Amino acid sequence: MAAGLALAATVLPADDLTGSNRFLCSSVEVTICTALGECASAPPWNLDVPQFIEVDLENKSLSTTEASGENRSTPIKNLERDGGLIFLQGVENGRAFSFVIAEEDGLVSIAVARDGLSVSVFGSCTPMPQKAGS
Amino acid sequence: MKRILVTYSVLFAGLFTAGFAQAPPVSEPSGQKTLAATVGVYAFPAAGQTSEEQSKNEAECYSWAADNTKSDPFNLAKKMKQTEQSADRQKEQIAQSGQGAGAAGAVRGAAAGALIGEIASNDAGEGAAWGAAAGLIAGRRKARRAKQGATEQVEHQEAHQQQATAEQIEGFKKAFGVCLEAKKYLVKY
Repeated sequence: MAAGLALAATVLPADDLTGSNRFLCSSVEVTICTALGECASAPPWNLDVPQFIEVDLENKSLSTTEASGENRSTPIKNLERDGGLIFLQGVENGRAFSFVIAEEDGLVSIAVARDGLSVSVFGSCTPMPQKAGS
Repeated sequence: MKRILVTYSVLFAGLFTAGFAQAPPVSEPSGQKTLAATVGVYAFPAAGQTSEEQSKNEAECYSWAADNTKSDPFNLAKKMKQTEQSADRQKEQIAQSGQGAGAAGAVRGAAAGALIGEIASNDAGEGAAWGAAAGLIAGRRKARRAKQGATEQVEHQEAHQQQATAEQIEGFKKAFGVCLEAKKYLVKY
């Protein structure tokens, strides 16, 4: 995991998200652990983790990009900005998720837990332009 | 029924002859029980019956009570023991069953359209180790719940049967006691 974080920090330099309500996050390193004590790192697509995730704080939603053609989205239930970090939480289809996004450099740490499994995702985010009318 | 009844020892005869000339024989304090005491019924020969008479009366009443209640405490006790052993065997079988059945319990992933809700679906990355592991965990949990339910059912049946047997024994004791009372014994159980 530490290696993944280092990779995210070095290979994909992120951006300052301060003041932004929409950003695009990229998944870089994904690790899955089971309750049996087995852990493995895998490419995002092997775990159905989208390569890119659009985060919309105004509409409280996470969604795949239009270009991906996946048309997947998830509502954010809890949103908090505190101490330079953005915290997002929610529950969907038996999975609980938490995002912690650092506003200063855009690094994102994601934890998704389902029954007997946990998935850790590290990546980076960059601001997106506001949608027209918002 | 093997039993040893004594009359008076020299010592007891000396002590009690004056005051209890009509006192009945008592069981020897050696752990040997009368037929009645063996089934938890205590009979005092109120009419001064001898130990031989008491033994004969108890045997008659035992037979009468068994016929009238269609139950024999010795057989019922044996049956209760068998029920207990059978339940133990069933619980052991339940505990040993379903081992390795977890692999069949894998649950498929979420409905399409969910972003987070599809992450780590069991069908993601076909053949991946975590898919099997996740299925195994879910399967084990399901099997554990099923085992728990089956064990509870066996325990419930066991309790029900033991209660029924206890009621039969109680019925027998009542009948046995009534018979002994008719033969002039003071009865407690």
